[in-house]
Amino acid sequence: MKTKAKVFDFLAPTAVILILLIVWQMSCIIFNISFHLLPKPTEIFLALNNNFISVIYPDMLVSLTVMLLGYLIAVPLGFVIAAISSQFKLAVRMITPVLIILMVTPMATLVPEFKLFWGVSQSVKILVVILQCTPVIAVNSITGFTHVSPDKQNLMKALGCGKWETFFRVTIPNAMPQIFTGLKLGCILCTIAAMSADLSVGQGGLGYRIAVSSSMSATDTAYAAILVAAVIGVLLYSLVSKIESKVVTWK
Amino acid sequence: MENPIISIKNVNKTFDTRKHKIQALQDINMEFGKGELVSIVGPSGCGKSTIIRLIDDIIKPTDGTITVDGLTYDNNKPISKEMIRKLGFIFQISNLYPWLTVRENVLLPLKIHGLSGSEYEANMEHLLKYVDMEKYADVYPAELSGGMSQKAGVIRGMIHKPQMLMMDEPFGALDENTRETLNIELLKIWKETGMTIIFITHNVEEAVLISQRVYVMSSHPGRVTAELKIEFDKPRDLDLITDLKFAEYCTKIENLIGRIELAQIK
Repeated sequence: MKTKAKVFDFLAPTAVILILLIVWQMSCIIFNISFHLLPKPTEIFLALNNNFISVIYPDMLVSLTVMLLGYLIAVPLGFVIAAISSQFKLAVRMITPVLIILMVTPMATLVPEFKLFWGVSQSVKILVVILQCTPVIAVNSITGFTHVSPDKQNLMKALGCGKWETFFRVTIPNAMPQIFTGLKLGCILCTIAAMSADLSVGQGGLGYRIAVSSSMSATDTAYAAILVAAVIGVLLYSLVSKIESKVVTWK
Repeated sequence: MENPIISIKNVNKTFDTRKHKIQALQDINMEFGKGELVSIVGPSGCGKSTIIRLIDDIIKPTDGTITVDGLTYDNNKPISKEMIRKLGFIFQISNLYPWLTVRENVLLPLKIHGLSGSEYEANMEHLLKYVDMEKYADVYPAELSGGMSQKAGVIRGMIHKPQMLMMDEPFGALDENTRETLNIELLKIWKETGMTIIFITHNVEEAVLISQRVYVMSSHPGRVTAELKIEFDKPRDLDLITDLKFAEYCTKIENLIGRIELAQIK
């Protein structure tokens, strides 16, 4: 039964994607859509095949490095901000609006200002990813940490546990589902932030490749780069979901 | 009472909410003897649960004194770990932690109190069997029914062999048959262990069946209005429910509560 469910979980979305690709391909042919506007899926896969080693792979490495470094810094940073601020009601009320402002601000638009301080470098891109991901991880973690039922806390008091023992034994495990929601949203945002930063900073990366290819009318290569970025994002999200299934075993 | 193990003297408790203060308890005076099983009954909101939370040091009184096993609580400091080990608490809703299995939940007090050894493990297995839960020991709470969760919660409260046990409507969520069975099981455990038990319940029959004394409370604010000794010549089993004296005790307590509720409506 479990194997059947797993097979279905894989086949169902694969079938949907295949159907969409077929509809896309047929639409381009039937409606004679210009290559420069929307290349066919077959053209995109061909471009991917032809340009992968020479063009797309080096850019993919740049973007992957930026995304992973940014994300791996954002995760503990967001967690620590949430862990400390959730201990004080006033701190939560003070910090949450700031985090929300950061969440809704497209950080890539601030890149020109960052470049003034740090110059044109990969560090600016990593900073963009950190600034975009940390708030969403922190806000979701704060929500998890501050929504522990009083009776769960009272049991710890009845057993003589102090604030920090209660935090590690109860608050953190209780918050795990919410924390992982933040981590998964962070994956999505880190992909978008990295692509946007590539566009603004340059110096390689898939976002840079998309911009350069589009400007040279190599739309198929641009879409190939988009496809690779999407696959990286999906793989990162799947990895975090897999970790979640191992950690949050009770759901 | 001579040498009560738990003594509550002139205790008041006021809760501060955002809009106003709520006086939950007013001038409470109660005593519990060593090894007694005493129930507290009363209408909802009369502060029954607040009293046992005060004894268990989950909350502090606004004023008054609470003395447990010779130690008078400091209203500004938590009680010592040694005292906490003597106390057990069973919540109204099982309150099992969803991320721990039944076994891990039940063993949690032992882990926190630093108690280990085959004696406690054997006690756990014995208690799980007592309540028909041994098959579910490695299951997560989400997979249990409400009644099963509550049974696990009850075992968790007793696992570290406390000297004094606070039970906050522990069987309220269970069906009548299971509740009656567990009431008798509780009496057996009480006789075996000699624990002092304070039992909160809405169910007057339950209180009369298991208790040696019953405190009756009124609400708004919570006050003690009556204290009854419950004495039977017969053994306390389910047959007692048909006894005339049993019915008289129940009627007396229900009348007391009824009068309280009527007075509040007026």
